[in-house]
Amino acid sequence: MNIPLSWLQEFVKLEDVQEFADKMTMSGTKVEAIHSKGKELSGIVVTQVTSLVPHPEADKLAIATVTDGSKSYQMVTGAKNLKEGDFVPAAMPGSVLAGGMSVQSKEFRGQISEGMLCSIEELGYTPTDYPEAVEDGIYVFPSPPPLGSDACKALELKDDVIEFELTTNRPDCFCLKGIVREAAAIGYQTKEIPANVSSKKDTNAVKVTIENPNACFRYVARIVENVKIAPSPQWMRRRLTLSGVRPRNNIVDITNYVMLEQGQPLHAFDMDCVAQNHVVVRNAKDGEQLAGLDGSTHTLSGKDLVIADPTKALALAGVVGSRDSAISNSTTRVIFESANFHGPTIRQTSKSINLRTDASGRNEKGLDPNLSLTVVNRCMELIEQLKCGTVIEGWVDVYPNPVEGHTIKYSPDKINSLLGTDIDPKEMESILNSLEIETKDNTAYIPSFRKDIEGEADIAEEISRIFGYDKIPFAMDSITVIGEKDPRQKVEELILSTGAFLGLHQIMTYSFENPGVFDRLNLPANHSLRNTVTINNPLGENSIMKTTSMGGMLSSLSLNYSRRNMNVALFELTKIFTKTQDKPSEHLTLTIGMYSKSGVDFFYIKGIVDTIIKALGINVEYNQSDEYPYMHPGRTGNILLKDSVIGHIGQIHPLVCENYEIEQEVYAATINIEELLPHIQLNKTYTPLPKYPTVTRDIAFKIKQDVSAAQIEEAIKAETNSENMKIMESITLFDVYQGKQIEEGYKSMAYSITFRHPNRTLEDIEVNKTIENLLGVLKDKFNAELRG
Amino acid sequence: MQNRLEEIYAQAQSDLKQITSLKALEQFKIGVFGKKGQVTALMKELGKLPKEERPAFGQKVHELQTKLEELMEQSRATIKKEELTAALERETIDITRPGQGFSLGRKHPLTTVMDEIKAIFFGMGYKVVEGPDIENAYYNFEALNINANHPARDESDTFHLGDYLLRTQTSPVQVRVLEKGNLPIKIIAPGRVYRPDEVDATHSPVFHQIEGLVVGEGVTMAHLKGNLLTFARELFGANVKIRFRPHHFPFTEPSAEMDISCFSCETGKSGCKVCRGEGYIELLGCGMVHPRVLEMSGVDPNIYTGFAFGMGLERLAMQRYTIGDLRLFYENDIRFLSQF
Repeated sequence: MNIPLSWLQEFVKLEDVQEFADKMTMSGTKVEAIHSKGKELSGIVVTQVTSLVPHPEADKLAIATVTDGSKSYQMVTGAKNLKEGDFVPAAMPGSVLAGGMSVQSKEFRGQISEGMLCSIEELGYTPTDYPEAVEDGIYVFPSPPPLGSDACKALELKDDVIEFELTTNRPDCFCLKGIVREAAAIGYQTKEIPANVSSKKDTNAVKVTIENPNACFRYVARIVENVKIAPSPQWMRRRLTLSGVRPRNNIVDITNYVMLEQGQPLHAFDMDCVAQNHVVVRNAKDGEQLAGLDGSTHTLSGKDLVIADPTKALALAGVVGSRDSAISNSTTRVIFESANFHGPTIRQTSKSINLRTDASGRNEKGLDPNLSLTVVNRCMELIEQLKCGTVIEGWVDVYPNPVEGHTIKYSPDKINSLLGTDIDPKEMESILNSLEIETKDNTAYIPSFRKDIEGEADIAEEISRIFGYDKIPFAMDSITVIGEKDPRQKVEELILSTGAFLGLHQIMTYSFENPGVFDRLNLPANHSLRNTVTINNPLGENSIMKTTSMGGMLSSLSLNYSRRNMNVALFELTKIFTKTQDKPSEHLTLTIGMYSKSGVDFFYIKGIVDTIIKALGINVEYNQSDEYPYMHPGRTGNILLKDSVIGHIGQIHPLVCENYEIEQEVYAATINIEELLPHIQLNKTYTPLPKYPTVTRDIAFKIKQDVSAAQIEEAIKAETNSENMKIMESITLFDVYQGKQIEEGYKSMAYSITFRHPNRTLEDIEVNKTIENLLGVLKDKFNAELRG
Repeated sequence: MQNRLEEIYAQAQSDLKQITSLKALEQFKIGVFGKKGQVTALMKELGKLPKEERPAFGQKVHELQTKLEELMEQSRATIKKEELTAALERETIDITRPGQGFSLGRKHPLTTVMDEIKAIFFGMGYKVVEGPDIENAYYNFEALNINANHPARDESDTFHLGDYLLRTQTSPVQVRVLEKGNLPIKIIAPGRVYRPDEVDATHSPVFHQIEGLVVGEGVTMAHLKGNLLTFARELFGANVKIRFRPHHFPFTEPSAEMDISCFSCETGKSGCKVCRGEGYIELLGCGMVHPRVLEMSGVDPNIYTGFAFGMGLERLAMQRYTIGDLRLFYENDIRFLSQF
């Protein structure tokens, strides 16, 4: 909300605007900015045209001689609206115009111009702000100010506009009156905002019926006749403009002016458009249409409230009037509406027709119904002051359930102990009184315009914000809770730091995505991942919660690939969402994805997965799998933890890579962390270092190609760790060879096996015996042959 | 005879001067002590001498032997030293060539900032608690004193999932913790939140918040200020200034916004990109937990009071790293990710 400083200064005694802004901000009325209007203007004076002759060399120019009362100047102008005797603003050499343009003496076709005569635009305003100004013409003062005086002052071109950022709980602050009230509370000397309280007299000139008293709490109507539509005076237009409201005509301007001054929107109807002089406040009919002043025709529903006459709707209550009943140049009789509406109803309408107006913005917050009569009477005062018409005596006031203020008991001790302060109860009282809250015996009498104050905590806030948050001391509480990370947090941290150590970059993707992801992943129509939790009101195409993190990973890899980032290895720890009978479930998932020109293959990513899993203190196994449509059927495995599948790993299917426009082998893995969690072993205990030395044997044998490393390893383990000889410590596959020296269909596998006995030094002879047995087993089982 | 001994010694001395390799030295040794070596020959001659001359001559040959061995030892030491020097010379490398390329991965910048914040609160005795992303209206709104007519409840301001919704704030975690009733409470709740804001440089439909809640007997607004001052000093340095401005949130009363002095220009220089010349930057919202919020979750507001605070992680990270566009966090370009 914007308020011109000059207007505010009429009611608040303030010198230092920055200090005022800071104080208001620190007491809860935040000043967002101070805009200096016309700041750059300088050197523009009031002059009179003493002669006006055509330019001898140019048809379109004229030479004006102007005087500032003591000296004459020659000015060249292109404007057509001047005549001798006119009072005009002249920018003297060295002066500065709007936008910072500086004026110097200049020659125009052989004629010197000692400065420049100014239009209203050159002074930073428009003819809307100064209706007497001629578009593209020199501004001519309608009533002459003293010659040689500052034109900026005469036109009131300079002002500071204070922009307030207000919170929604304080609709009473959205006006001059509210700001003045707050200024008074923090110690500024203030003057009362005009409030006319004439005694009540009924009138029969208009009839008002409220059909829905749950949506319209009060409706006051007053009538003005013999209206003469004209522009409102300059001081009013100026205040409107600087406050951000476009001036229209005297009647509409008065309603807006009073809204800015007192906080309640008003509306003016052309009375000749109101059938039977009868105003009806009712709900709209479904499908009812209204051609709004905003230029659109709105289709309404039964939820919307309209102001109507017995035949038609005249306005969307509290939001916008209709074109048909609007004030026009021919209007002679006006009904002034001052009404109070149910905020949420107004907000619903404003949202459903997608129209926010100054009126709806205020009405939707819920205003004080006790304002309605005051503001309409204030309008009448201005009608008389501006001589816009004849105010008809009396008014109609329909106010079925008058609202009164309420009382709240408060305890100064409790407030001090909530704030951690030691504020004197007397000071509390005087703070409340300064906010127009009366007090007696620890009871606060809350006026009806402060509906936001509901309980003692609100009283505490009022006291503390005026007392000053900065005066509340800094203290530390004595609450001691043992801060411990839970296993899930520890696991997350461990995964993230291990992943980063291993060269992976952590990514973050949205939790929802486009359902097209399933086609890109080549999932068949009935695939279970397509059973998603769906967003009813998505932003664009991202309408489903992720059931797999693979799409997000591939999109991120794809973006990097398209930007020619050559070596990319990413990981993400994120939730995926599964539909259930009840509340959708959320699973923390680790996803790894990578591509590179060299060095990345299945075993590279498998090594990374193994290392991360090992960091968590668990071991997993793998088995070959071709069940994932987006994975390479021959280069993919399940990740198994105690025989249950917790994830998968492998190469992304080349067709899926094509869908993501990555022309390289992509490897990825995904693991459901929820399934890992119960098995994770983070508590470490020390195992004594072994006392006896190891014996290592390397063996290589020829074996059928289709025997897997896992099968061989299992057989070796079974043999070397038999009941009475638990001596094998580790087994490492260090070479797999297929080629010239091995016949077709076979491969050579070379293992390094390390033995150790926990209680004594092993003898060669027993190790040799074990190896012999082992080779026997491998021969029996797989027909393996020892190689030289 | 005596002369021969001297000759052998003199010859050895001169020969050894020519020897520069261990191999040649070995050859020399054979020439002296080998089967056909000079000294071996002398020993053979010893037998031919008269018995009485043998001890004296033997003694001399032995002396010569010792002296020759000394000479060879010296020579060996010299050669070894020279060979090492030569080897070290040969092994010299251009140490300005680049090191082996290890690829260091990174945590996401949002994780890094989040970790930093968690660590600060952890050190202050806070517990880290998390809650679900999918919530219902009760936890996300009602229990936080945001009634059905509140603007935050607009259909279009929340993503709806049938009977559920994507939480618009991390505050539902407060409610879940309060409901459990294990008082006192001192927690932070970091997490993902969702709002249907169109994507631009400062908005994202998915973003992160960190929420804090302290509830116990005798918790005051002064404690709120003390805790947050400590936090701000830990995060931004001991010289940071903070200020509390009155504000409005439905779930706290009194409510405040906390600003910190600009860490970029410190004084509010016009043209400062971080504070836009104001000297302060908005950091977080906070306040004393609204008694109704306590009450709804079964905590007696006549016995217990508490404070809560919440901040947006993205904005904090943007300020910290001077990142101008929020979209970068979710785009995952490795050239961006590798900078943090």
